[in-house]
Amino acid sequence: MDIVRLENVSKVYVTGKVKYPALRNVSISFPKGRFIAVMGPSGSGKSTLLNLIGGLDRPTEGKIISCGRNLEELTSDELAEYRNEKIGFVFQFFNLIGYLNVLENVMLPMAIRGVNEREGREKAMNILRILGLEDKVKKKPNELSGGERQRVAIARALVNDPELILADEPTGNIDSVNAKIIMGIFRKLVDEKGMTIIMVTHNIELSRFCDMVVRLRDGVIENVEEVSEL
Amino acid sequence: MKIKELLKLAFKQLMERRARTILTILAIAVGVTSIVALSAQVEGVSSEIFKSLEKLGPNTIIVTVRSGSLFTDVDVSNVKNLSGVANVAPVFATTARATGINDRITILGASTTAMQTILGSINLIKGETYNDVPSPQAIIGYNIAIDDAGTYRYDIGQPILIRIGSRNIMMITVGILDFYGTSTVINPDNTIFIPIDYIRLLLRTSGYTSMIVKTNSIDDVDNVMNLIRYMFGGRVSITSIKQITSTVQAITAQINLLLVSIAGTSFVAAGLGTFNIMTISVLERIREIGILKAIGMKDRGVLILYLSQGLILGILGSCIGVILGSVIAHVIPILLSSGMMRVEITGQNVLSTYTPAVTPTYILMSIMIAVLVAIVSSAYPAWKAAKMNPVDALRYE
Ligand SMILES: Nc1ncnc2c1ncn2[C@@H]1O[C@H](COP(=O)(O)OP(=O)(O)O)[C@@H](O)[C@H]1O
Ligand SMILES: [Mg+2]
Repeated sequence: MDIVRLENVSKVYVTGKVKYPALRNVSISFPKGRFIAVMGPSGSGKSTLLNLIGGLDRPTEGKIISCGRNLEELTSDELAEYRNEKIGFVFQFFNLIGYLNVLENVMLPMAIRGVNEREGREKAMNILRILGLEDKVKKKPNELSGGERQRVAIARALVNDPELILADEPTGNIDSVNAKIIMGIFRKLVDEKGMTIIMVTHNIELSRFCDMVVRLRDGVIENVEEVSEL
Repeated sequence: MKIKELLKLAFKQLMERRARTILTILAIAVGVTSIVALSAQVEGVSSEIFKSLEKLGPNTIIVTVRSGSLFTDVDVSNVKNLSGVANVAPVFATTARATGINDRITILGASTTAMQTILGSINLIKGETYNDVPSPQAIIGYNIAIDDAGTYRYDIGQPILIRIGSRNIMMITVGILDFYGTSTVINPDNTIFIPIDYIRLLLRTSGYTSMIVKTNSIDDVDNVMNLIRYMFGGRVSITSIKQITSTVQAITAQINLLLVSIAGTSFVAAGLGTFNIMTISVLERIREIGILKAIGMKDRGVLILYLSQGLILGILGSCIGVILGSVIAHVIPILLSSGMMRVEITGQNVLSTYTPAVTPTYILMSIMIAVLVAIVSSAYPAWKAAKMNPVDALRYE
């Protein structure tokens, strides 16, 4: 079963008079319960693809079906609810909120969803414990290492039990040891929880943790490759 | 997202930029402070004036000869017979000098009943009222009897030498009036009361300079004034306490309006300050707005997040303004009475005797203006934030 399906999706960025096609007529399906790597040179449209799937932006043309929704038909409020409940974002630069501590950062998506504070706190603590961050809950993001920050971001992505994790170069700013730890976490989420993860990466080595590699070039899908178990 | 959670987030954002937040709050507080403090002075002074008017009673009409012959006993009884008139107190007023006093004083020939009408009640600190017989007795005002240092110039039983025109007259002090303070029609503290018959005898006149007319009720005032005007024509000037009261009310309202509009200009500054701060705050947080939207905050949530910061600034600014304004309201009269400023009404420095009145009307009004200004000035930045495209916001460096 597919969790995401793109049909003839194009995205053209317009800056002043210059039009730049970042994605060109892309059609692809992502199966549920897999760990998928999106690779390709810089500027090939990887982030654009992820942003469209995540409902952060709308395609210029084409149709995106994700988590059972036709994103085209959603109002901007419904799209916000979709991002909140179905998607968990993990970014290269962590994107944590500086004046909130670790616990508050992780609780934020639940607060937005309207989960009551006690329940939210319990859930956030649980996830932080699993990710080995229970003694950092009162710390501000700038008191943490890169690896720790990214684990906090993963915790934040997981609290609302999303169906899909979208990770844009999640290991781009952390050392290789921590990168492997994060790959381990992702792998476990897919294997044990049946989560679907789409991850943009430059790192061939890390793509070995994945089930499937999608290669992009100049806004076009070059190939899709299943990674066989060793 | 629940409003409570949004407010918490808004508060945390403000706390993150503490110095800037405090400055904005103070800018807003200035306007509130000035409205609260200044309106309290105007209200205080005017209520002081109203109090003294009240002593005379709102049903009082004062008729004074402007030119021509003085009022006769026939005139007095004619006025007494007008419908709606309760009683008439004829008096003879003139200015004079008393030895030992630089300022001119007022000599008022009046019967004890007329005195009662004028003063409300005759409050003596010493001695007693005179008998209504033509003899040289005087009841003297507080400021005449007692000098600035608080010692008696004239005491009971002592003679007082008065000079009216070119004539020197010796009177015996029988009573000393208590301090009356602010007064609008006559100033008892600088007046010497003597029996009406004695002054008429002395000045060889059978007339009166003024009549103090009491009507049966306030509703009769206008009618009686018309009748008196008809009776005497342009020879007399007619004033009623009712008239004075409404004049004072009108003046007070205008002064207050003026103060509020002066204070209002400080709200323009506060508004621009708030707009500036909120715009900077939104610009600084573009990326953060992108994050909030990415994790599911709706446009409305972002809008409320920034509008509520304006609201918080407005409310805190108002609270501080009200507190500061109330304190300053009570400091101003102390500064004024220390002699920095004088506003005299019939020789009295009104500014030294009033109590400032901090009124809920002006508190509420200034809070409303402050909060409104703060919200309006954060509306545009908040709207910009809400409309931001999440991808562009996240890409913002
Ligand atoms: N918001 C935008 N406005 C204009 N151009 C953009 C925008 N986002 C991306 N682009 C351009 O589109 C192309 C693809 O960008 P992106 O999807 O970020 O590539 P990748 O993530 O593969 O490096 C790039 O050339 C980039 O400059
Ligand atoms: Mg990218």
